[in-house]
Amino acid sequence: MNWLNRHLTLQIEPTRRCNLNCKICMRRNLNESNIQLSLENFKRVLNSGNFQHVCLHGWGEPMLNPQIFQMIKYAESQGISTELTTNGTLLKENLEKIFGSDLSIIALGVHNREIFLSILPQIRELIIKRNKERLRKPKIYMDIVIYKENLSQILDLVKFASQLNIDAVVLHRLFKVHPSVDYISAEEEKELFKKAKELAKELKIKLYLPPRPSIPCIAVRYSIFVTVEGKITPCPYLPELYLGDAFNDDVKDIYLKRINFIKNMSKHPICNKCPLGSRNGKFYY
Amino acid sequence: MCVPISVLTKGKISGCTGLCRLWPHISALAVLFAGLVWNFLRGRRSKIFK
Repeated sequence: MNWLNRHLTLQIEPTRRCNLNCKICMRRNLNESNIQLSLENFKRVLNSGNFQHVCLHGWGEPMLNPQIFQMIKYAESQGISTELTTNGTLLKENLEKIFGSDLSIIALGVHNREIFLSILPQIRELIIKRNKERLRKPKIYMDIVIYKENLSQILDLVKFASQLNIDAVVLHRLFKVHPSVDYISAEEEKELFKKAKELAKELKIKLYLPPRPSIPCIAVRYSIFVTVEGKITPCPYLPELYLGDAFNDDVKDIYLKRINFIKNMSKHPICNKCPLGSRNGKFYY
Repeated sequence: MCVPISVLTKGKISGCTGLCRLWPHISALAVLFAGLVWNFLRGRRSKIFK
């Protein structure tokens, strides 16, 4: 049954600790956990499935786990490509380790201009080093969450990304976690996407817009999430939905439970409001 | 958002070439094709021996 998991991306949470406290992040709603994923547990989970790609991030800053680069190095040595999303604040002190680990993809989770400008020198250093040494890896992407407060900054962020020679910009919709943070309206979104596409074409930078909502959504269809405590869940937005224990059970054993979840997904209250799953646009402001 | 960008872009941004996602389909097609060829050859052989 191993081949059935072959198309799935493993997303595993190395830590839930973070050095920022972004109001758009679901971490604020979750239990504080000081547990760190160990290298041993990571190897166990990775080897229990037949994964081709592993993403090492969850609801925390992955570079706060001291063993993160050993995990990346191990996965890459097994022929499994790696990816992590970071807030970019710890790039400078980990620069050598990033290149030494053979990391395939690094996504910079940027949500507003102020944070972006504060980490700009570190991003520049990362890109200069990669280009200077003519390295193919890691690919560097900018990962921007759209919400009401940063709507006026999105196009500026795309311009910054182009000036920095970032490989591509990925835009995605806010998953509403707090009543004080709202997504934009459908009209505002339409206008933003139009302008962003035109700008990206003009600046010759690759731009990815959010996918069309579907049930099952792309997150559930193509990935599986393992929390820092070892809980297997269908997606990062459902960290309490327990499908199995990744440290003690085989990831492949949860296959049937996952299928059962997918069958009933259209009735799930969270999936119905999620920007990846809500086909009737319940996520719009 | 916490969903990986490789997943959000349906593998367009990915460490793999994308072919790995197609292996189950390719294998199934190969099995079907092999079955078809086998059936065809069996039919021809039985005609010859008649």
